[in-house]
Amino acid sequence: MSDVKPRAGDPAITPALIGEHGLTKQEYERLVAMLGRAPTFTELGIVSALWSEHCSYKHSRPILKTLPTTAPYVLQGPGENAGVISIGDGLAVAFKIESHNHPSAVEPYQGAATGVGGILRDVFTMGARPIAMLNSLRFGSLDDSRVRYLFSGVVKGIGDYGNCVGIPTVAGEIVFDPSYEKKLPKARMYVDADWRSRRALLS
Amino acid sequence: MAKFRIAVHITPRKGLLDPQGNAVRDALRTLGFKAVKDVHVGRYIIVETDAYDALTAEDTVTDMCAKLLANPVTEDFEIESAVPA
Amino acid sequence: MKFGIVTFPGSNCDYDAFQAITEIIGEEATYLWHKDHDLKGSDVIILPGGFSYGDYLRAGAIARFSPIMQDVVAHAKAGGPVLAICNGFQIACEAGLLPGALMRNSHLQFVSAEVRIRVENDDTMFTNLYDRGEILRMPVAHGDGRYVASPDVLDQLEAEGRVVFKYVDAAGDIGADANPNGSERNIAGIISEAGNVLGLMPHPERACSPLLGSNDGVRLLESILARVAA
Repeated sequence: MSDVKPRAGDPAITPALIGEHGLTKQEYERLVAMLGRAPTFTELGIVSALWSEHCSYKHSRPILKTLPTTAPYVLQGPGENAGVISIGDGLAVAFKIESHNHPSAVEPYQGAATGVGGILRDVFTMGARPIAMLNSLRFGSLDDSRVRYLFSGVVKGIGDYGNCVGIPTVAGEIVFDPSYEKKLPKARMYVDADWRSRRALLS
Repeated sequence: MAKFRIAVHITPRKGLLDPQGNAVRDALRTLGFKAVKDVHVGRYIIVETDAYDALTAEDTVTDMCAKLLANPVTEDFEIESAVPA
Repeated sequence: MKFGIVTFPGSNCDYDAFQAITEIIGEEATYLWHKDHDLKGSDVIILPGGFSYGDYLRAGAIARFSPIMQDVVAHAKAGGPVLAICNGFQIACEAGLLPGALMRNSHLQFVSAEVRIRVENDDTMFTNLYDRGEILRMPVAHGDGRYVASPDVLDQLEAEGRVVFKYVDAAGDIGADANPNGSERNIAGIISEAGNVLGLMPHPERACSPLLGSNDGVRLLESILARVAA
């Protein structure tokens, strides 16, 4: 690695700053080992985003790895924008599920709306047409005014974006529990079938 | 030719039911602003345009309001004086 | 008979209209791109539902200036049939093809529901296969469906039989409860002076199959065929 010097005026990389960036001590040490030196302030910011739960699913990954990913009817497994499964008769269905906790906690309306947009994108980038949306929401107790603010923002964000694209939200679930007070896990799932062209990927 | 900046206020036509305005009025009263009588919610549009002079700029923007910016069936509009930009 | 369905950026019911025409009614349909000046020989133009241009400024305010609209207006002026559904109705009003305007629903919420509409005039290009007073079920899905016009215009529309559909309840009565958006006099659909342009907020193209809850919309489309064939 070439020698990259910190820029003049950059704050010093202290344990407090590392903590503010959401990196654990172990993660920071791993970063230093990979770079062969301490990161610059900019590099610290970039990696803290890359290694956040939202971008890397680092806490969910060990659990996701326990799920099956292969079968005769799996046309496209993990690694692409959405998974695709054959349902027979020359038809296939593309599915995707994604979480949008952090953006929704920061700005509930836009966070939820862009979550809808993002997952629709994942489905149509596979060449399939979205036909249905679902959502799975978790909030803290509605006794808390911030939770009410998040709740109304998220519901409106999902509704406004979904209405605009004309794709119906056909099912969902919601749980209120104090353990979700700080962060609200939200997942959206999109189903679509390539009914129209029937160019399911079986051929 | 010079550049001018003109602000346009677009409001719901007088006499038309304005549910958005009513909703905001009621919210203000709930917050404790009991003296609020009425609220009307509209749009504020800023147009920056080249024109021969301020008067021409204002005439042009009036034309814009009539043609696009306001819907004469449901909206009233008011133009502020053109300001050199 | 060929149906031309205009696609604006943000239209999302063009596909439903295409399916209704080709698979249910069994006629030819084609999509018309908003930037083109080509109606592709279409006999009937459909302005479909959706959120053209994201409803920026006002619903339909920007779509009305799309290049294709010049051809659609010319087609309408020459007496050609135009079916303007939901966002299409908004665009038609903005373009001056129909009087009045569609405003934000009076309860300020987006409404997605099945409504009942009553046929007020069964002698139009779009309703000749219905009976006057017949109650139809169709879905609505809109945030800006409140039809308004000055009292003079409303009186004129009623006097000239140009109010084609009104929102009613199960008993067929007009009342506030039956009105999903606060439209004046429960007006759900109107036609132009010459009778060739119909604007309505409910979606007939989404009421073409018992599987979807209602096929009351089929006869609206077939009325056009019947009238033009006559």
